[in-house]
Amino acid sequence: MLARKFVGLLALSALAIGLPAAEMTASLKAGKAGLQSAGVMAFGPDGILFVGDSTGGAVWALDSGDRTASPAKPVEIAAANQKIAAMLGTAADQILINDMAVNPISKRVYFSVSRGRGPEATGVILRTNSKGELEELALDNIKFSKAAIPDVPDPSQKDRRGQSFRMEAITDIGFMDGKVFIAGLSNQEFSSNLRAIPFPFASVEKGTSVEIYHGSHGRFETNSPVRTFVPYETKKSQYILAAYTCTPLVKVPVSALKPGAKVTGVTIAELGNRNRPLDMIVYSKSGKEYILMNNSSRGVMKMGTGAVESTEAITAPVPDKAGLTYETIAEWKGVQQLDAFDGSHAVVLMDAGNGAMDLKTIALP
Amino acid sequence: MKRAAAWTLLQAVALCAAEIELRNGRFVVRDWPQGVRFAIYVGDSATPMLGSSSSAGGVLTWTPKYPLSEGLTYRAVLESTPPVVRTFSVPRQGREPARVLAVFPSVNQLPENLLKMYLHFSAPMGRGEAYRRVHLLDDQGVEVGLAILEIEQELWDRTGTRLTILFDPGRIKRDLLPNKEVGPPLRAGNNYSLLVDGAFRDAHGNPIASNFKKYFKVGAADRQPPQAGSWKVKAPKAGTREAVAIEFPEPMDRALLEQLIAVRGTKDASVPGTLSIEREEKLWRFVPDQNWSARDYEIVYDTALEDLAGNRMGRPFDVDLFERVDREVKREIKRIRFAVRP
Repeated sequence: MLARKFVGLLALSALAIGLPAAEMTASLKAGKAGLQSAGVMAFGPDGILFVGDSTGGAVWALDSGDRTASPAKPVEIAAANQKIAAMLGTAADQILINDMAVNPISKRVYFSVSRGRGPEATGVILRTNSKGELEELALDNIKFSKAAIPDVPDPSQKDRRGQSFRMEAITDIGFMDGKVFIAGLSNQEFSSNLRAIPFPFASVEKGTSVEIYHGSHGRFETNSPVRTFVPYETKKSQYILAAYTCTPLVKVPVSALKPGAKVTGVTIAELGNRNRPLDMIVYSKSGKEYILMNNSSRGVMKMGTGAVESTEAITAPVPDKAGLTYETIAEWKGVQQLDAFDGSHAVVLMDAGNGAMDLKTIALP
Repeated sequence: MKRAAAWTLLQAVALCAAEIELRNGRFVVRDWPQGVRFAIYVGDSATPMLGSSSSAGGVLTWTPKYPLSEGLTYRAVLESTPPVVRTFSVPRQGREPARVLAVFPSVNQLPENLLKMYLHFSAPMGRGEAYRRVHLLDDQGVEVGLAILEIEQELWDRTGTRLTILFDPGRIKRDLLPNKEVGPPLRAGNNYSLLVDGAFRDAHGNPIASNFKKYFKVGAADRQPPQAGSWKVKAPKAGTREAVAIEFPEPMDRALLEQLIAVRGTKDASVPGTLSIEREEKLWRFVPDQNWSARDYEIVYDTALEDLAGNRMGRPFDVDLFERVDREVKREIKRIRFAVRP
């Protein structure tokens, strides 16, 4: 129930700047991709699927082999979660659909799933096929590469017997301009980590890891773990638009993500209490760009991006709905997963009641 | 005509003879009429399971892609005319129900800006329901809404036996909208309990043994970062395996105490031993495997250590920039020398 999301438009502009797509695919080697878990996902160029593996402490680049453009046919699968569970030979309450992503080239919908709920659960990737039916993306023989997420230094590591309890949950992943962005949240220290790992993954390249802060009205400052984000480009700059666990929506200029830098996200909207953003997408309609944010309690929220470049940081306490103004799309209730489908539609995984989750294609508001 | 009828009769006899067995997690069809489709379904689902088959000597072996799950019924269907259908149930294994072993902080007087709790279970738990099963209740037993930060991934350790609960940082951090609107989840002067619902299911889908409650009182917010200068280090005697101990003036974050402090000997060599956290996370003790030598040792610690309110060494949880406090941003390893003498 997370995020990432990335629109075809952005993918194209990223491609124009980064390595040629074929070169990126060539960096992947065939073999068994031993994912320990399959969490957040994002598509890069040429059908490359990035998957966050919190248990394995890694990010995987998988060659989905899915790079044939096809006319977008709306997908509808009733009780998709129950069908996925049945395919995996188990009950719907014994799987978790961790994320959903649409391949911007083929429009096929991908799901990352935990088969089982305990620590021994298996990470599985499924997708819709050209008929709109579900199939598994076999990981036994697939082209892939992997970037380990380095653990934080730990003074007692070399003295320890047994396993550390520490683990970093990868809360979101995105791709822009040849870099994979990863947001992480530790299950121990309250810190934030936003990493930018160049792709293709180099064997020793650990990428940039910066701590992200949030200044409340220029006065109180905390570490601020990122819950969900979306890469966003304007004509002038590249940003990460991020929703913090402490609720504000901020912009972080990608140019600021340098090793050792202290980066404070610029607040562009205060979402107020009860906001728990799950997914974000950016899309355009009638010549205007919008951010659509799936929120666990407020339904789906829509806000214009026009002001992102110019919005001044919110530096004084403000009433609810400060900064970018937003509207709530009441009809989109129970949306668990959200991604852009084509220029005018989104794909959602929606709670249909009775434990069923329906996959639907819906016109963007 | 007559011939065709005879063939159909023979085929029917052959089909009736087909036997389906479940053996070592695989489905085996004896006297499999070649080419006839065979599929496995969970319960009454119409979606076939993923798996692969091989045949030899009229025996078809169908292997599921993923192992069969306990407590479920599988339907094996040989799509002949008429179809042969058999159902197989995979029994649940008897297991001790999981239970809550401990909750940290163990102290029952907590600051208003408490940031974290750790729940330890006796067996691996299932993900996906933590925030429906863990509740903050006021002294009337009424749930305090939106107190706990919900992270979709849930903050478990790799063994699935420790869950980290974060109190909503947006409500704790001063001056943010949620803090202004509804205030912190905990209020000084009030009593609360943390309820772990007995319906919480373990990794096998079985509920835990019973409800679990931790009662606690809430006092004033703690905005003072821990300072190593206020720690009392008790050095052991040479030639013994006495513990080296650090006494803290306030309870510290248990997980970080366990992880971020260690003992070093000469040339920064690690000193193997056993550590324990005692006195409600106010005492760190380390007993070496070998006797101490008469020389200087060092306690090394990471400045990422936190107290119960998420105040880091030298840096409060929410730094008041107007107060011009020292803002230690960089995470560092620091050292405290202690002398071991006869």
